[in-house]
Formats: sequence, C-alpha cells, structure tokens
Amino acid sequence: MGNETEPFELTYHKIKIRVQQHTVANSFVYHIIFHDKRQPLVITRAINANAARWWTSIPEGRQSEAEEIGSLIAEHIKSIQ
Amino acid sequence: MCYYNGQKVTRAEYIRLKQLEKAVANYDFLNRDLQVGFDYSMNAVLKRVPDKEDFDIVQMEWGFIPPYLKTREDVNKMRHGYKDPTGKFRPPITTLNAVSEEILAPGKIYRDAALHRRCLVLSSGFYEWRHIHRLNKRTGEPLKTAEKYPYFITVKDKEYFYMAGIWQPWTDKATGEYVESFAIVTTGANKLMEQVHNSKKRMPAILNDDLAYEWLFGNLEEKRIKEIGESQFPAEEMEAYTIAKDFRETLEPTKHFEYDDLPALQIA
Repeated sequence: MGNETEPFELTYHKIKIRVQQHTVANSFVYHIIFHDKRQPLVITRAINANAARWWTSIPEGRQSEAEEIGSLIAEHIKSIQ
Repeated sequence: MCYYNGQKVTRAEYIRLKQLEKAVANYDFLNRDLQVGFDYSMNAVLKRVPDKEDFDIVQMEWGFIPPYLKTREDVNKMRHGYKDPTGKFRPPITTLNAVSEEILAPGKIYRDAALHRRCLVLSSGFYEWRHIHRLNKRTGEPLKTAEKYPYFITVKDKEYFYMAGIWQPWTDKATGEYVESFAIVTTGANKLMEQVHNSKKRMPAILNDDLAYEWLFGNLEEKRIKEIGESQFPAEEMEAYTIAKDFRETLEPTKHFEYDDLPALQIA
C-alpha cells in the first residue's frame, strides 16, 4: 500500500475535496476527504460484466458520489498528462 | 454473475472488490489525519486475541460505554446531558479518558476493564489546547478568559505510536446493537505537555514498545497496571507545534500555523 502521487484538490458541488491516489492490493484506489462534515470516501475503477469500466465506492453504498467524483478525477488526470 | 454497487460484475471482479474492501477498511482508519475527541468516532485499536500473544486491529468507538447503560438513548444522555423528570439538567459525563491514578479504585466504571480488557490505541498524533491568559491593559492583571491555541503533538520519528487504553463490550438492550468502546488512559503531563496542555497538565499514557507489549499481553497485578498507566513518555522524544484554530474544518488539520503573539515553548 503506498502513495502514488501527490494529493490534489478538486471542487465537487462547490465543496473542496482532497484526493489521494493509493495502491491497495494491486489496484489503484482514490481516498477522498471532503471539506465539509461528510465521511471520507474511497473509490476505484471496476469492470462490469460487459467489460466496461465504471467507478465504484469501496465499500458499496455511495455509488452516485463515486461516479461523479470518479469523472472529475479522470478529467484531472487527463489534464495533467 | 454477482452484483456490486448495482452493477453486474463477474465473480472474479466481485472477489477482487471484496478483497479491496478489507484492505481499504484497514487503510481508511489507519490513515485518518484527525482524531478529535468529543465526536465519539471510531478509532483503530489493538485488541488481544483471548489467551494468545496475538492481537487484532479493530475499530472501536471512542468514549467508554459503562455496562449499566441499557440503550443508545441512555448513552447519548450520559454524553450530552439531559433534563430529568423534574426538569433539572443533568450535566454530561465524559468517558473519553480514564485517569490512571483512579482506574482501579473500587466502584470505578473502569476497574474491570483495567484488570481484564486492556488495549492499545493507535495514534499518529493528538491535539491539545494551550491556554494563554493575556494581561488586562488597564489593570495589568491576567484576564479571566484565556486565549486558546491548538497544538498537534507527535512522537518523533514514529508514524504511529501506542496509547494505553481500556475497552468494554456493550449491547443495546433495545436494538441488539453490539459495540466495543474504549477510553484512553491518561497520566500527569511531562515537561512538554505541562506547557501545551497547561490548563489540566495531563497527557495520554503513551507506551514504548516494551510497555505496550506488557500492557496488552501481561498478566499484571494491580500495582503494575497503575505503574504502566502512570508512566510518562519522555518529553524529549515528543514534539508539538501550533496549528490553525479552525483545524477541524481544514483539509490539512496538522499543517503548522505560526502565531506571532504566542510565546514559544521551552523545549524540554
């Protein structure tokens, strides 16, 4: 388990979030800390039965946040490459 | 096929995600930046496996729940205070910390846990407030209300360290909810903490590796439990620095913040 990149900040629904990428059990996960009182969130990219990639929260239960923040992270990564 | 978060995934992917959950569960609480009391949050605790020199890392609720409380409502009343049937306000009782000098006293709620359920609380650092009484410009007397400055305190060169803890299993009689809760054992402040936590002059009982091992696995007599609980971690192995007053709301609560008007600590 290790830090892969420097943490970065994004804005999600007008709230600042801090994102840190880690490698856990040979997978990339993103640990998200919200600037409000919300619980931290961990998300990762998974593959569904049709072989399409999608974002999921770890553990289950915060799917909509995972999808929205996942898209923001993907945009951010593209923008710095 | 299986479902994860509403999506159909292969069995192999399902197992991978479940494995990830377990790994992340460890990661998520071990990497918490902020462990503030009074929010009765879940914290990482080393709990002995019965009759073995082995332990599990588990999450427990910070804030010892005495066994005589029956329901979560009773717990909330104890923690936040309440009005009794006559309308009189019963003030809150805080069980985040257990005073080492008193934990074994007969009748104390902590006694049985100190004898039989000792644990180690994992910490990467903790927060305390230093009180500064400014002088009244007119009279030159110290003002009654202190200005408070938050500090973050760590152990030098240690990513994590151990605090002595005691834990208690508890079941809500109304819902069946099972919870393990704990209190951090406190001792008198060392030379560094006397200056930082200068209002109460107390600190957590931080244990070096040998004492931590003994606290968790030792078959200890009462005298030794008190000795370890009252032990003082050396001030010269600790460091403390100021952080922003609104640190609880910031993304980096442990970031150093300098106050121009604050006298420096006398380094131990």
